[in-house]
Amino acid sequence: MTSTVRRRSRFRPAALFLGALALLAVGLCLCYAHGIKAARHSAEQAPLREIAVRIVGSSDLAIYNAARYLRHVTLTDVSTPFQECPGCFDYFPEAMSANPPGFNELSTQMSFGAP
Amino acid sequence: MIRVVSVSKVYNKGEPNQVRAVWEVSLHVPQGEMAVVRGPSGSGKTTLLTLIGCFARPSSGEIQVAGKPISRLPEKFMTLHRRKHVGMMFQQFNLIQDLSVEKNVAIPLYPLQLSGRLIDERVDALLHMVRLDKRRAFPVKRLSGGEQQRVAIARALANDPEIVLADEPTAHLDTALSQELMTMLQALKAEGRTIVIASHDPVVYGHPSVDRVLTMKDGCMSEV
Amino acid sequence: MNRYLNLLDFTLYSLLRRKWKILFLMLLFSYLVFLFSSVLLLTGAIKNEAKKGVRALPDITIQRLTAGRQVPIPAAYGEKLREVFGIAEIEPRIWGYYFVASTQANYTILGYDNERDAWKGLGRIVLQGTSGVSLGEGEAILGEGILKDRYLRLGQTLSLDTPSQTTKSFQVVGAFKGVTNLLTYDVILLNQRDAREILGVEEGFVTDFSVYISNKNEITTVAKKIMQILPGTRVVIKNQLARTYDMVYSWRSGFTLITLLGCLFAFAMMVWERASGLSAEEKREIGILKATGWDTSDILIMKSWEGLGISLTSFVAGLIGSYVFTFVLGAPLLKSLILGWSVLYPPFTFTPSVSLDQILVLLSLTVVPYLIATVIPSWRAATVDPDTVIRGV
Repeated sequence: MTSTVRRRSRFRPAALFLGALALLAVGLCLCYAHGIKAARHSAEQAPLREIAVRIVGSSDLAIYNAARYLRHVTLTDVSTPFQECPGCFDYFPEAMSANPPGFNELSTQMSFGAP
Repeated sequence: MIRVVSVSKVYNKGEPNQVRAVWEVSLHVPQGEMAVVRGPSGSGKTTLLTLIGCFARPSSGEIQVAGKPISRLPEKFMTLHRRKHVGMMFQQFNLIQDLSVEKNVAIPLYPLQLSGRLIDERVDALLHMVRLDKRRAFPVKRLSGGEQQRVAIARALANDPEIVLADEPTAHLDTALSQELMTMLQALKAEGRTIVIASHDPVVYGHPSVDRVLTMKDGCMSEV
Repeated sequence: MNRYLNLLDFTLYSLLRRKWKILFLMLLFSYLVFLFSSVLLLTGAIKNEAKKGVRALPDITIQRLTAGRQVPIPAAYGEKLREVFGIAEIEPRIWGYYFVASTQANYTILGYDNERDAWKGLGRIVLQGTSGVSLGEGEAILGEGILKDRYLRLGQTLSLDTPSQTTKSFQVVGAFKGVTNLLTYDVILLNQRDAREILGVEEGFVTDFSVYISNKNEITTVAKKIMQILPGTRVVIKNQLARTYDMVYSWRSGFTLITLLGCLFAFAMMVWERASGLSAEEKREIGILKATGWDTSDILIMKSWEGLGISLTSFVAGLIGSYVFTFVLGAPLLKSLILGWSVLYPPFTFTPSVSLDQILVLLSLTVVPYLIATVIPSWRAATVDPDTVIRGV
């Protein structure tokens, strides 16, 4: 009995699959390395951050300085960051996710402080 | 090679739908011989084949292969015995239709500790033997009945069995293809394999290579 | 080893027969993991970022409340605080908010007291203009956001309105470095007298007191004493501030995850469908494998490969995707949902902070159920007698 010569794929499916798994593992390792590098960079900046916290007096992040409880979420009310009542959740979507409409476009004029 | 001693198989024992598929059957098939079990539909031919091939356990009696009792083996050892010594051609072929010819033929080889290259070599040889080289990548559902039968033969021989069992192998074949099939089985017999065929086709039990013909009726056996 | 590789080969051939269905399944799986882990990674990172500054916070902050709202506190309370044993430092602070109608931005104004020890580190976080780091009257140090909002540079002039409707000008003598943006983006640092004038805090009053304790184990004890000697004040201790971050971000994270529940239900339905049993075709295939020499363990290994191959690959792909989305691309869209909005929004990237227990929880909610749903029905089918296959049952 002789075998016929046939064209066969160079790689068996198992090898290709395990290769794909290995690539994913490499991806995970790259993410880990990226995380380590970023953490190291962040740690180097930690003293500057601490100085900023001492000066600003709060570690609240400047990312919702237009929300109802304004900039200092942790100081607005100690038992709840949201002003109405203890344990009240914030309103959604404003204050949490979306800008309010510009009050300049309202039909009734509103002004705050000097024009 | 194969010795069956007073074997019975009863399905749904003790229940209203109890069936005596095989009852007190004894037979002996020496090594290298070809035996045909003939009989009408429902006579117990297929059941007898499944018992010989270790696909099921008899309700009573004993089956020996090469002097070793196999009928009371635990399931794991029955599977091992089947894997090493038995090749089965099923009446309905029992091929995986969406899988290619070469993958179907290789199925018995996957659980073995063979390298991928050895499996490929073995499959190549089998496909050459049954003349399906050019159809190796075709899904089985695109083959004719005769071609599917040849795939079934190749698969049955993949593990190089000493015992080949065939259940109604010519059921889906015309006379010419039936003759061709018998020629292939004759060649296998010439290699020293023991062959047991269940068939009511005269092309099969009348073939000159058949050494003995046994008749079954209502689960019981007589020899011709 | 050959056996496992051979079974893996067969598994992959089997999966390829249903490649579009499998691909869809993997995409859905990865997407689900991507969504959930992005929310968790983002929340974890921002909590971590906020908590980094907790160490430098005042141990106790004292505010005065009238009708339930914060009002300026008498500066004379500082003298009473000196009587409390255990206090190392008392810092009266003047700070508040300044709303700009034209841009609808809120600035945070801080009063600078160059007598304080805390302010001695200022030079390290400020890019200086024409003067050294001290702040005289008429001078201001600005956060980057203010510079951009007002189109200002070092040396130029910032104008602010006072409550008495006059305008006061300040020369920009410094800008906070970008590395402190998350804390200083909206900050205007003024001389304390100027801050008092702009914010309208009367003489004899301050906004609040920051108190530092010598022995950190005594913070709660000292806080209680302060509450006794200064009734009508709110005493906030440091760890309450830290817990607030957990609460704020966990609430937002939880809210976002709830909106993703639809995806989780779709996944659960998929797993349920798999767990409820194999199709007739799948059972037949398992029967064929058994009839051709496969034993139960071979079939279970094959099904485990199938379950793991789909679920673990999708999980890891989703995880990597969420990491890249959150920490490399900055979580566009998702960031505004979790972090909120602001007119002055500092540019920043998160420092990766991955909580292993959250990943494990996600793994146990996705990969494990899918694996179980794949293997258990197959095990039930694999224990069937091959005899039934031969009979075509």
